Parts: sequence; C-alpha cells; structure tokens
Amino acid sequence: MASLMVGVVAYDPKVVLIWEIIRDYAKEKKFDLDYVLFSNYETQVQALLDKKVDLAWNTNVAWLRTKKRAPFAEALLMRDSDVDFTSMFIAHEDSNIQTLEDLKNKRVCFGSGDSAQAFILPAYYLKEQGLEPNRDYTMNRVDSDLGKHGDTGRSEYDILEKLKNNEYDAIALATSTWMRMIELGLSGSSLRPFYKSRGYSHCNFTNITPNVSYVNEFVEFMLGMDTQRSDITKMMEMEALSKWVKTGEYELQGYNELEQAMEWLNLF
Amino acid sequence: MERQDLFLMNTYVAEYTIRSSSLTQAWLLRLNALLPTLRMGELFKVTVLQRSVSFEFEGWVQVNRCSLVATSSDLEGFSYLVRKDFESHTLSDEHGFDGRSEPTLDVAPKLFGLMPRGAHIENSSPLYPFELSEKEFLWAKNVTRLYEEAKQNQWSADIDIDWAAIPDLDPVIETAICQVMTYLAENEFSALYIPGKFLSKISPYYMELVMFLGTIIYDEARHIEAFSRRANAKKIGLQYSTTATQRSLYSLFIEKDYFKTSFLLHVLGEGTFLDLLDFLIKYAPDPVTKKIVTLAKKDEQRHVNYGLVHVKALVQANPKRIAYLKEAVDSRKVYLDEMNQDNELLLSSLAILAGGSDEEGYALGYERVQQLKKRMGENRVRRMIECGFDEETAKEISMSHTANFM
Repeated sequence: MASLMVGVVAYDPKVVLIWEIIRDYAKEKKFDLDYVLFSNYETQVQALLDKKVDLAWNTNVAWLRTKKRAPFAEALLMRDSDVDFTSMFIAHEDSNIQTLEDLKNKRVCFGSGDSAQAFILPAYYLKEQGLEPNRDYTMNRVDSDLGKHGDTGRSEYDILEKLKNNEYDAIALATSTWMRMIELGLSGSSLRPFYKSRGYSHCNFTNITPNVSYVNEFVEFMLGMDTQRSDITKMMEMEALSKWVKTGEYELQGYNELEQAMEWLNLF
Repeated sequence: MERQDLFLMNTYVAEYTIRSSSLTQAWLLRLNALLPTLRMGELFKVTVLQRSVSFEFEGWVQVNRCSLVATSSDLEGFSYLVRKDFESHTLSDEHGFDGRSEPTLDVAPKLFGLMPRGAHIENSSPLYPFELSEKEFLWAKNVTRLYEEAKQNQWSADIDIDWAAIPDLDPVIETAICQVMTYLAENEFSALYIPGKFLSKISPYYMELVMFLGTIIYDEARHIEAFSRRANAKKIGLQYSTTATQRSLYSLFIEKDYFKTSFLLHVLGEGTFLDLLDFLIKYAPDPVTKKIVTLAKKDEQRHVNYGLVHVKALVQANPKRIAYLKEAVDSRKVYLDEMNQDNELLLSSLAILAGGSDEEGYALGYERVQQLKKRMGENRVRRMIECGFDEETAKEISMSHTANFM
C-alpha cells in the first residue's frame, strides 16, 4: 500500500523539521506516513479534493472552504492550542478607545485578507456591533503572504508598525502574535489591547473520503505520540502544542462564527 | 466543589500580582520562567489590576499551553487560577558531585545534557550521542577519591622544578637524557589524547569520572611540558622520535573499545611506565631530572590505580572478559610484529644513563636495562593477577605486551 500522504503548507522552514520528526517517528512505529509541502492553502485544498493527498493540515479558512466543496469532509484532529484561539484589537493607550463601539469613525487596519485571526473574524466582530466597513469606520488591510492564511504572522507585524506610526487608530491580530511581540520587545509601551475575542477553532487535519481505514490509524498514531521523548517534545514546541486533541462537537462549533464571517465577506 | 473555593484553599504553588498597566517584557520573562519550575497539573495564581493586562494574561495562558481553572474579579482586580498542562522537565533525585555520592543508575539516562548529575533536564533538550553510558564499563569505586588526590597533588613545572639547577653534564649523558625525555613526551601525548578521545563519548552523568579524566589530561600536559623543557634546558634539545614508538602508540590510539583501552593504557602501559620512571629516578644523573620523573610517577600511579580498580571490577563480574582483553593485546601484537618493535635509541640511552658511555659502563647499563625489562614483566603479571587474571594468562599477555612499554 502506498504511504498515507498528508498535505502541509510550508509557511516557515521549520515545517520541514516538524514533519521530518513526525515522519521518522512514524517509520519507527511502522506507520507508513509521508508528507507533501504546498506553497499555499488554495492549492492544498484543491489537491485534497482531487485526492492527490489523503489528508490535509488545514487552517480554519482552508477547512471551511474544503467543507463547502466536499460533503463528507471531516475534521479529525487539532493541536490543543487550536481550541479557543483568540484575536485582539490593539490601540494606543491614550486614544480613548475602550470598546469595539469606540471604533466608530476610526481608521482600523487589519492583516491579510485570508487570515481568520487578523482580518476575517475581527472585521466580523465589528459588524456584529453594527459597524459596517467604510461606512462606520475606515477599513484598511495589509495583504502580506496571501495564500498562507495568516500563518506567517507577517501582516500582523506590518500593521503593528503602522499603528505605531499613527497611520491607524487600531489594529487586529492574534493574541499569540501579540505575546510574541511583547517577547520581542516590539509591543511598545503605549499600546494596549482593548478587546479580546471569544475563543474559536484554528487548524485541523481534514479528511474528505468516507469510510477509509487510515483515518483511525492516523488519529491513533498522532494521539499515541510519546510526549516524554525529546524529539517529540521538540516537535511539539516548534508546532506550539502540548497534545493533539480530537475534533469534537465543541471544537466544531468553534468554526461557526468564522463560517458566517466568510459568508458575509464572500470568501467562499 | 465551587470553582471559587479553589482560590481559598491552598491549591496553588505560586502567586503573582501584576500591577503594571500592560504585560511588560519583564513580566513575560517572569511568567515564562515560572513554568519550568512547576510540574504538570500544578496551579498558580495571578492577579492583574488592569483589564488590558487581563486580555494579555489570558492570551499568555493560552499560548503557553496552560489552562484557566478558575477566575474571579473583585475591587482588587482579576484573579486567575492557572494550571500547567504539560511536563517540561524530567526531575532528578540524585545528588551531583559532592565527593561522596555515586551515580545510582546502571545506565545513564538517555536524555542527559552537558550538565551535572542532579540537574533537572528539559524534555526537549537534544539527545547527545554519548556512547559510553553503562556504569559497569566506566566506573571505578576509587574514582572520586582519585579525583580528590589529583587536586591535592597538582604541581607546576614553573614552581616545583628548579630549572637553573640543572648542571652541565657530559654531552653524551645529556644527549641520552634528551632522547629519553623525547620518548617520554611522545608517550605522554598518547596518554593525553586517548582519554580525550573517550571523554566526549562518556555521559556527563558519570561526572566524577569525566572530571578525573580531565585531571589525567592535565597531568599529561604537565608531563609533556616538563619533559620537553628538560630536553630543551641545555644546548642539545629534543631528539628522535621512532617508528617503533609511533607504531605502538598508533595501535593504542586506534583502539575503539574503552575497556580494552583502559587495560592497555592504564594497567599495562602506564603500569610498565611506573617501573621505567623508577629506573630513571634511580639513574638520572642530576637532581632536577630526578625530581621531574618523581613527580610524574606520582601522577601516573593514580592513572594506574583507576585502571586496576576498573579492570578488576569488570573481570570479577565476568572472568570471560580476560579472553576479551587478551584478544586486544594479541591483535595489537600482530600489527606490531610486522616491524621491529625495539626502540634502540631509547634502550641505548637508558643503558648510558644506568652504566655509562665507556665500554664497561655501557655493558653494565645494558645489563641493568635487561633487569628493568624483567622487572617490568614481573610487575605487569602481578598487576594482572591483582585484577583477577590467572598467572598463566597474565604471563602470556605480558610477553605479548608492546616492546615500547606503552
């Protein structure tokens, strides 16, 4: 039998290191697994639909696009860090912006147009508050690394610079990116988050073929990883998880809001 | 139980109050540094006074693979009870170096870094390829004591040797000294490189041994310095290296097995050297040379003592290992027998030192060198018997030992 092929988007060189560790571990466990790198999620989704790969490691946006086109699509597995992922709005401390409503008539800058965390959901949160883009506030975007669905975080760093330069009144980004910015000393002393979103679901391993035996084998293999081993711990640190979790009801509901947001923005 | 009650009970192991108006880089460092000190499942409490910080702190919890167990807010601010959800370190319950404790495990932990025994290793640390990880094949009961002795018996070629006191000797005698010193320095290079070669393969879990081998390396460096300086002290200087010596050292250098090497180097090689150094103490023509070899011999005795205890324990545990060691000597002999094994330059110089350079004296010196070789053989056999060898095998091995002595 041919190897189980997993599609993975190469958003960073470390993706290769991560998947080499997983592949080596699979080989050791006599689980026949290999991976294919894609440069963007659109191509990966198409490859999954064309059954050129068996499974895909998808962002939430890629998952929803797959689900729209493949009736039997199922989300199998996620990182624990993909559950209750959040976004933030950041503004200058002295700007009198305390809530989302305060963004009325302000200039807001988002990250890449295909990033759930830096654009799609934050824009939707404003809409929910009755703020329509370019009617109630000025919507701007920095589309860096389109196709990577915000994985590189580059657009978020780009808009941070613009906020610091007072080109805009507020920006939206992932909470995890903000943590990284603080760590790197980029967060500036006058910038404050004034809103943190509800949790939503991020990436998952997607399957579109019903009743195939490899699905359970894959899930068992991933859940059974020996987290005491140095190589696995290293991989998990690089991939920012402490354990793999099955995608259950709660996790699936975490995609609902994004689905509505993508409908609203015509992103399907 | 009500989640609020968790705050009241003594459920958390650490507590911080963040008063600043943002999660600063400094606070991030402090929180990040807290995590390694907690075990999986342990709770800690953080209170933040400002809402903006609470957003950030909640974000920190999520990003750092922890979970919120309970939250509460009052006039004071927002309090969080956070649980660490992963195990970052493997704890050690051993003592590191304290001059008394021994490593307790028969095999060093696979996950062990360049660190003292007793430190807690982070699970994502790289796996070092320490090939030598079995206590039985490394450890000797006396290694910690030998390390202490090594520290106490350090000497310096600058302070302890009175270089100005070397007399002007007959050039023939001085040349013989220089030849012997050249030979000694060559052999000490071997005794420096070989532990060095194995050192990087030994798990630091056996830190006392690693540190003791460190002293051996420095002992040999000091010997190389002192022997070279003695040769260069007068006009004559360093003399000839020989193929016989280099082939002997080479055959030891390429040996890959630590146990075999320990036997060949410490027991047979350095053991034989003890007799050679005794000979030089007796016949060296000047007090400075006598002092150098006397000090060197004290160091060499420690190296031999490690080898003796190490080999003895292994042989006692399994006497079949004697055949394994004999095989090492035999296969080395096959290589050495391809060419003349004798270092005539050395033997002749020893004869001159022990008897003199005229015909009669040289004949006497030659006789004394023959007696030295006999004594070396007897002592090799005695040391092997001490290690648990039967006399017959010990004699066979001794006969096959390199004519280069080391």
